[in-house]
Amino acid sequence: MDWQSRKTGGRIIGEPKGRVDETTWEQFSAHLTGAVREARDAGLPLVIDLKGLDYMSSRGLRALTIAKREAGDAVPITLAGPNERMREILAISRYDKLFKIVDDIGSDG
Amino acid sequence: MNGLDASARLRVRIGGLAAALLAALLVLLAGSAIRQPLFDLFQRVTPAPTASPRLQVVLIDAPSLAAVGGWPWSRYALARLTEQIAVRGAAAIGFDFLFPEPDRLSPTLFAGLYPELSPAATVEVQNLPSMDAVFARVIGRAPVVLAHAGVMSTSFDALASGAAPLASDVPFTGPVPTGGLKFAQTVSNLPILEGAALGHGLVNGPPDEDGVTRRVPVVAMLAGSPAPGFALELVRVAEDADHVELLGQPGHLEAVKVGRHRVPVESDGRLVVRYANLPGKAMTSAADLLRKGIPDDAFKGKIVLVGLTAAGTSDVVTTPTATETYGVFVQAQAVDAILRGDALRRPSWATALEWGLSLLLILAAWQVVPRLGLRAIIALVAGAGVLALAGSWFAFSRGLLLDPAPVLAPGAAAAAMIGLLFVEGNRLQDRLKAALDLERLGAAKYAGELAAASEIQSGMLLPREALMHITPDVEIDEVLQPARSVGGDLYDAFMMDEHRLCFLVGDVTGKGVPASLFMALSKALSRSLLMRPRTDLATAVDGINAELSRDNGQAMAVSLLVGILDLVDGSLDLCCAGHENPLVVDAAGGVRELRLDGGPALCVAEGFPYPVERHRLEPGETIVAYTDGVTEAQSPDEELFGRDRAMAAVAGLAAARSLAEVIDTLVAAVRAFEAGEEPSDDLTVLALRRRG
Repeated sequence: MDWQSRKTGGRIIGEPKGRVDETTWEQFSAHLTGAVREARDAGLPLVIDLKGLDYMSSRGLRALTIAKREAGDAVPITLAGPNERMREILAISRYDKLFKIVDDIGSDG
Repeated sequence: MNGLDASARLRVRIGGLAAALLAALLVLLAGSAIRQPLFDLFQRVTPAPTASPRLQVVLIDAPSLAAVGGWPWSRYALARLTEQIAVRGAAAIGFDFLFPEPDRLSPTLFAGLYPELSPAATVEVQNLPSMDAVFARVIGRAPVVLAHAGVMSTSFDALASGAAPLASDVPFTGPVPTGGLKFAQTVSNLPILEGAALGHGLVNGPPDEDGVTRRVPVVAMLAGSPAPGFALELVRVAEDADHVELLGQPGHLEAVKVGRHRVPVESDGRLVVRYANLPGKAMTSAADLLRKGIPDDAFKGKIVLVGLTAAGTSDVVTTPTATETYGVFVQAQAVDAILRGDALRRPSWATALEWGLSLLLILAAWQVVPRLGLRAIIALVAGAGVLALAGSWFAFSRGLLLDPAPVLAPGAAAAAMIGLLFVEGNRLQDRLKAALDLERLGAAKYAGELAAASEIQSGMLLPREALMHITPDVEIDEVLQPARSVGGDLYDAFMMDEHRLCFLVGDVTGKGVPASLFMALSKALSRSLLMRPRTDLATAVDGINAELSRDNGQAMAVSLLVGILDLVDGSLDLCCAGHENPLVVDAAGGVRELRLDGGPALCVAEGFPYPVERHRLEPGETIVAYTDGVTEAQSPDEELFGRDRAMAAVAGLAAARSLAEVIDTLVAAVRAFEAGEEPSDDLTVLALRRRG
């Protein structure tokens, strides 16, 4: 699990890489929560670029839930560029109903 | 005592080694202070077996002084005494005192005392023979040895006159003593007596530093040449030997041989006396001798020492066996030692033996002590101590001075230190062990509670057989396999009313005890809210979501698929909260996925409006709901089982097959896919088939 964070074009962009599972979800959750706080402090929206993420277990979804709670209404969170498997996971868990999901970070309006 | 780990043992052993080194250092520094009192004790406890029968001491004691007069006696009295000794066959006669001055009662001195004597009378008195001459004549006829007192060149007593040192009466052969007494000259006797005597020996030798006389010089250096001690000279004269052999290596004198007698000495020429108890018959009072009360051959072949033993006369010394005794007895003991050839000696190998044994004992302590109990260690130390002391004592009885201190002290110190540290270490270990036991007990209790929780949990779920009897219109079956002893998956099925069958499958995020508790809560709450009369599915799910979200500090979530099947028309209302879509297997074996809109898992989004989606289940059709234990099962190369494999597994199963077979086939496919890997998640499959 890897995490890069940057500020581009009026957005905070978080880029996780690898897998989120039993062994990495805490790390993932910590980065995610940190990114939400950074976005809130900067008053910017948060985009999570899922392009580099292979897989996410229910633990990862829980991390997303926690981030969502932390963000509240102050920070809109967009999930960008999920691969096919990630898209399926998000679909099964119906997280596509909780988060705005776009094909890539460029297509986020 | 094997409780300690290797590093603790090493620390303990190094502690023991340090103690041993310290003890060794102490022994080296305070060697004689430890050794001497012990050897003195041996002297008192084990005196030399028997004194030589050839030894005789004539005592000038209080009765003698009473009989003859105050000391010094006239030379006439001494001449008489000498004659009485000689006539009884003495082989050697030694006076343990000197005659440096002329007789105080000599005619010359007497004449000088009385100036009123007429010149003729003065001449007459002066012409009387001097008693010194009489004594000299007696000495000349008897085997007499006179004493000399050595004077060191630095001594207060050094003679200003620079009198020539007395050459030894006989030659010495062999290595000369080193590091011992070195005299520049001697205080000797009147020349007239000196010349008449058969032998001359040195009587003086300083006591040890603590004032105790343990050694008597047998040979000393006098003006660069070896000179005999008094005792040696007496034996030489008695043996009529014409030389003395010094034995040993150059610079390392070991023994002195005179005639047939050989006695070990230290390299400085001194003899370490092993004191004997002189028998009463070896003592004769001079008074008795002068009264002629002694048999004529009483001293035949004996060496007779004459010494002062009257209180206040002189020459009181301390020996290991007596705090106060007379010098003549020490000389007598030296003579006895030479005659018996029995003196104490420290063998050249003593040091090597002592420290070698010491090393062995330290090694033993290093090796053995950590394996022993406290009592065994005490027994070992005590045993080694007794052995070392007994060995030293035994050696002493054989005339060998072996010091038990170097043998014992370091080993004992090491053993004691190692022992103490080990006992302490083990106490610590025991405390740790006790704590560990307590922890294990706690863990066991916890495991027991887990097992109990698992039992309660499975008790909450309907058994397979019970599912069969819910309604005759629908065949229901399930499999739930927890990944751990308690799981987070749940299922339920019950009749809501006469026509409506409700079923649900759920999965709590996470595993273990927290998940199982949340599962129990979710199941109870679901059943309770769904059973409420006149409640529609959407309201019930909203209620469940709200109740579960309340006070959910752990941020747990549960995915839930709830279905209500109308047994009359086959309509199937489904509400999905973040759960896998169910599959439907038709009577021909075709499989389709029921795509549900749904919403996220319960507790993820409070107030989420979960939609109720209507489908149909035709007679003969089977709906298969499952948890992600199926789709997310992993192969050894981390591939996921997925929905497609699940569909493939149930496809083609003819409607005629039993429901249990359908479920078991799916579970078997999942387990085969995992290929023996431990399941990462609970696995639940619930299937319902509408009878045709």
